[in-house]
Amino acid sequence: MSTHRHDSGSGAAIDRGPSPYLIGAAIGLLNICAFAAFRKGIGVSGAYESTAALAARRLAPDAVHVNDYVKARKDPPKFNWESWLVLGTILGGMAAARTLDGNDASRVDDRPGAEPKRLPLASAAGGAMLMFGARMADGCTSGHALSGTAQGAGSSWLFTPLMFGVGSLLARRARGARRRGGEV
Amino acid sequence: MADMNESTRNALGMATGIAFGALLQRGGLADSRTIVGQLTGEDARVAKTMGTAVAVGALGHRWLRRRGLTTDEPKPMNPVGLVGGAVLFGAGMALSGYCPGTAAAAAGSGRREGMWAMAGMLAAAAVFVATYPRLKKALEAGTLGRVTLAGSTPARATPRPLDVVVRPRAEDAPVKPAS
Repeated sequence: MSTHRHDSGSGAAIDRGPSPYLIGAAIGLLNICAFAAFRKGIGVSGAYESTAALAARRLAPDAVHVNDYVKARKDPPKFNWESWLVLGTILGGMAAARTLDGNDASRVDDRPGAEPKRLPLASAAGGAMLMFGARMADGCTSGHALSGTAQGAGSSWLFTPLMFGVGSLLARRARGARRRGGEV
Repeated sequence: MADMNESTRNALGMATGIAFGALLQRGGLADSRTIVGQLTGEDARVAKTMGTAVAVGALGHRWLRRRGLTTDEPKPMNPVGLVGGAVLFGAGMALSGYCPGTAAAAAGSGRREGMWAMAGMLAAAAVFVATYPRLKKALEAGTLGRVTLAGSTPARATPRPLDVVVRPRAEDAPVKPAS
């Protein structure tokens, strides 16, 4: 947890890693493989829904009205390739953080001068809000912003600018408040 | 490719995810500060990465579709669900600094905040499952169906007839330069 191999004093000397254009091109190529293999682009948030539905069916089918849900969705929830994709994303993040001097998270988070860490409550509440929003819109940064826009889907071109716009507005306001008040 | 069996699909999904998570992490996107930095305008990496990914993906998708190797699957244009969802999503992204994919990569890379974000996401997904039967009507009110920017109806699942490729008819002759 506290192996500061970085030169902690100089905040400017952060290794920003490979070019974002290179990473973006690789993600685009990966998505092309997904279009060919699954006839569908990369999507992430749907797997959270089906995983939650499967868990609810096991743990509290009545409280969550799982039967009504299945009827309304017309498709029984399954642990399918999209769920495996999310598991893979966790593993991929793990592998990359541990190899190639890949910015080990515990090191970077503890760097002096780093922005204050988010409170766990803020992370969880933010995650909850955006997931509910993603399911309302039937897609997230992957299904809409990455894959839907690449197909020229009208829904995705409505969702993507709007969600980045709202996020920008709120993040700028929060930063302004933080600068004035010194506290989050 | 479409008729591969379930476990092959799952294995390919897993492999796709591993590559996706590693790319997100190496691109600095498994870090809430990068995403918040994009939202506040201090760091353009998200825009550069996503813009490139969408451009490359769009070219590849067109190429595959012309060969009948993939289909259009535009998500339905449900104004209520999309606008309400985008507002909630944007707010949640500003608060947590993550989205569903980057949180998974962040959790894997060892960031606690990524794990907390994922926990919140799973809880909200369960709430959505519980409320979906009641929300469905409102979310789909005024739906315009599956709309693409080209205005075209989505391509059929079956490839176009072979004669288009072998012996182009006049109306199928290339109108604009191939991209």
